[in-house]
Amino acid sequence: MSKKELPVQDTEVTQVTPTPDVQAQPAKAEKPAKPVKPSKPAKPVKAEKPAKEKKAKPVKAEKPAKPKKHKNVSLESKKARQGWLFVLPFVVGLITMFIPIVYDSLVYCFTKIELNATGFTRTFVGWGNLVELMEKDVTFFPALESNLLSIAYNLPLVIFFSLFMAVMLNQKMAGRTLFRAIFFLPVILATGIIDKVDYVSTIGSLLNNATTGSIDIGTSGAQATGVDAIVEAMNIQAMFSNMAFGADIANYVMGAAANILSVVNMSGVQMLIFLAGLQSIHPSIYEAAYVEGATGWETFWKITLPMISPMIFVNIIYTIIDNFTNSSNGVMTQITQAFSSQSYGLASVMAWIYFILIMVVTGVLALVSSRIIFYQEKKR
Amino acid sequence: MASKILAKEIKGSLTTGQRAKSKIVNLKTWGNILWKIARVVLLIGLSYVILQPFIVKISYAFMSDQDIMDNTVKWIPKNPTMEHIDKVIRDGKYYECLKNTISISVMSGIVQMLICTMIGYGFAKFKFKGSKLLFMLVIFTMIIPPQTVMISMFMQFRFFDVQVLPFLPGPFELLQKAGAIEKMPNLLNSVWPTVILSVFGIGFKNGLYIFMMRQFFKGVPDELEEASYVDGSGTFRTFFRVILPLSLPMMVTVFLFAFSWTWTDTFYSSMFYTNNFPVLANMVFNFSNVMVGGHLQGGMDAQVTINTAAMLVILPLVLFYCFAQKALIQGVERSGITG
Repeated sequence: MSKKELPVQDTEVTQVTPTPDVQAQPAKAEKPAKPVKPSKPAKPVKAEKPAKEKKAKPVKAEKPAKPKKHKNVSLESKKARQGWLFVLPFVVGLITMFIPIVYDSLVYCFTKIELNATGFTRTFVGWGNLVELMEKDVTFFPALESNLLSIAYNLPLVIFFSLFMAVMLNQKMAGRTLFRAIFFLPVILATGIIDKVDYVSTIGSLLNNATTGSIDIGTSGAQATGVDAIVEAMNIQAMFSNMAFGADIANYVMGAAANILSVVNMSGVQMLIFLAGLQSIHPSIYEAAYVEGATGWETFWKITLPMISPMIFVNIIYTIIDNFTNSSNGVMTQITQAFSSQSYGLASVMAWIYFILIMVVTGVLALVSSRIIFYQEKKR
Repeated sequence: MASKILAKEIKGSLTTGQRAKSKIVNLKTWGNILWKIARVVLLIGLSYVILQPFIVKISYAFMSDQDIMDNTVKWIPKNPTMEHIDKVIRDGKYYECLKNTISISVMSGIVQMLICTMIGYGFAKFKFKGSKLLFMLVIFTMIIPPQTVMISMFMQFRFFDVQVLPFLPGPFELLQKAGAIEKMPNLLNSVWPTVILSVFGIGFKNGLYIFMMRQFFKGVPDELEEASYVDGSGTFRTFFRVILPLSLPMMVTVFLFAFSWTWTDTFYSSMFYTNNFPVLANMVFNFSNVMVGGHLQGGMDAQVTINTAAMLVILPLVLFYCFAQKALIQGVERSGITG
């Protein structure tokens, strides 16, 4: 009895489930199942077997329904599978390499590591590394603070400068290709090596300056290029003090002008991104504005700026990440030093504190600026 | 038709109006001329700011000690010498470094270009469960400071192992415990770390490349692929025959980024390679230890050598850039790295 009850329940379930998707199918599936019924009992003579086949039939009836159901979603699921195939290298890398690496580095925060001939030994120390950092290291947190300040200082500079330069390099003029080539040179060269060489030799040149007073190989921007002299000659400070903005802004502009080389070096990729954005604005919009009698100034504020505001967002995020992860900043050098002096646990703790800070800052800025952005309506 | 003619008329009337205005020298044209002059001055000035350090460094590379001490010598050395360059080439094993660096950069450039194109295409054109989360993880690999994972990455390749889950022991660790191998394989000082990271799309700045390719493919209209599907091609045939030729400029850009950033990268190269596998990025720092050529050198001399070495490191790259910059800029312009 129980055997008979179960298949009935099964058939009910199978009949109910396909109905929302394919209403006609269960009816169709049952109809061919019934004509089969009289043909099959012709072969087996026993009375019990047809009863068993009754059980089997709903299953058979379900089976043709299944591939049909599959076919209905197959295009999407096929595409999804192919999508997985395309991103497969990243997934494999993520699972076999990246996540273990990140996990390990998180574990290292709570361990002490000692290298030996055959491998390394880990001993669990709990919060020991963090406590050590808090108690003994007096330079880390000030470095963190100054790093944040320098990013707050650099971010507007880089964004304004790269936007300005992109607008300028987008205009038609003689020698545009040459200027573009020169301005994108830092993109290619300014990743690591020149930075480090400048760092190394600035120290050297300072030492040398003290003794010989003539060496300026370490051209760390202002000093050697003579920008300092120009800034002084223009007497920007006096100019601003008359405008009643306050000394802070005057100092800011002074500093920006004096650090022009580092600003240029920092804003190469941003310039590229802005330029790409500027070229994606359809010329007909400018034509319309021109017909309406808008001036260049108005066009910039009412058309260019809103249209490239997504790029401003991308650039803000990129600049922050670039500044934070730049290996020549103070915190990064401290972490590298801790690493090279084999206090791996301490270095990991520092790095993770730093990373959490980056996450928070980037997240907050992304939230704030995503409110302001104007997205051009897309067709899709 | 009518609207076109109308538009033409409006345009025509505007230009004639302008022409009439331009005969009288008014404030606007003066403003334009002034702006043009200011623009050229600004651009030339900034170009000077960018190029000046390089020019100074190049001229220092050719200066003899005498010139360096001489205050009157600014840019053009009085007694030019090849001494420093010879020293770098000899003591720094320049050609061996160059060979290794070229092989690493070309390899990672090509592999990262292909892999990131593939991954970017997957993210841009396919909707599958977890694709958003996965893309968040791409961003995550981008924003995590390399220093955070530096130690564990070093360990990963120093004692190489394939782990499926982070807390499970990998096959090599099991083999070592079973006594089949004495040490875990050490992949440092070979091209393997770079190859492995590149193949999996988690190498240096690969998150950015994936992001760039994704943005590019988002701008490619779906109709193109649909047409190809209707004609009977599968997804992969469509990808190779239709999409790849289309995205060549963008791929060139990614290649150039990957190539040149691998070339000058000091972070990964100082982690993965020592003097047993000399690369250009590390060569410079061999001179910063004041020991050069077996005996102690003066501080200033070391400085000059370091600068010369740096110039020699970027020289092949700059030559390469001169030929490739047009492709780079075109590629980026077409990329639409939009938000």
